[in-house]
Amino acid sequence: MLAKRTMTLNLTAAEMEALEGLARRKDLSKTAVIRQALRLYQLVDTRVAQGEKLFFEDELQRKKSELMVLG
Amino acid sequence: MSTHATKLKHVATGKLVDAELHDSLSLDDLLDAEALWAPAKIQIARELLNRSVPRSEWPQSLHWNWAEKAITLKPYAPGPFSAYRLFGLRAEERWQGLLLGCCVGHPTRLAPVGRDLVYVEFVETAPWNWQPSGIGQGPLFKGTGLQLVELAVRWSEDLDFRGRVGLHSLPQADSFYRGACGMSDLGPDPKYRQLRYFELDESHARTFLEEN
Repeated sequence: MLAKRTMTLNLTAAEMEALEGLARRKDLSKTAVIRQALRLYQLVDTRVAQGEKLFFEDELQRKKSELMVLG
Repeated sequence: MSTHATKLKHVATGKLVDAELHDSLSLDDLLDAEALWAPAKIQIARELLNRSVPRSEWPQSLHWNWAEKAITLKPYAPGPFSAYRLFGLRAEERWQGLLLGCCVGHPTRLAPVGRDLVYVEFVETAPWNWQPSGIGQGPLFKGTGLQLVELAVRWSEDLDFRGRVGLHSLPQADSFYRGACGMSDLGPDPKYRQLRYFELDESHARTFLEEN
């Protein structure tokens, strides 16, 4: 079992609502959503740091847009 | 890295031997595995060539190289807090099988669609555990692949993904994922070299863990 640390997270009502919405839609606990968001952020940050770009693609509409990630 | 004791079946004697499941391999572990596996793969390739075994019957992961994967993975620092995690099964002081999983960016295709799952990027058993057609080599140990898939299912549970796992299968492994693992076959994926996509949903993950 991995050692875990506890922290207090201060969120606005809107942020908490967003978190709860994601947890509901993804069928995850709020903690799992935050952990998953952290992994995703790390992954994106690593790839952007290597010079890669992040795109969203809509195949039906044939649209592709770059998401600018600030370094 | 945590390890858990397990057993592997030694095919020639039918006896169970002690083995260890590892749930967070280092990149050095991959290099160690490749250092042993590569010569064994070359030996198999030599036999296949000498016996003129048709290319279509060669083991489909013969060209995989875990040292190259280690180099690619270095920036992502695989582990419990990364999007990537490496699992392995060790017996007789050498790696008998390896699995690379990813927990980001692969939503479920089975209902409920769009949920998170653990995606198996690569899973391979050591070449001495293969049974390549036409060269008379039998596997040294059996059961490695199933135990590695179980580790992926358990990681999925730890992440709150309820055991959901997905992967694209090499054709020679299709029946293993469909049969032994009880995964749903969603057919060839045109976006992934027409490899068949398999997925384990929550209820089948529960059955898988009960049966293995």
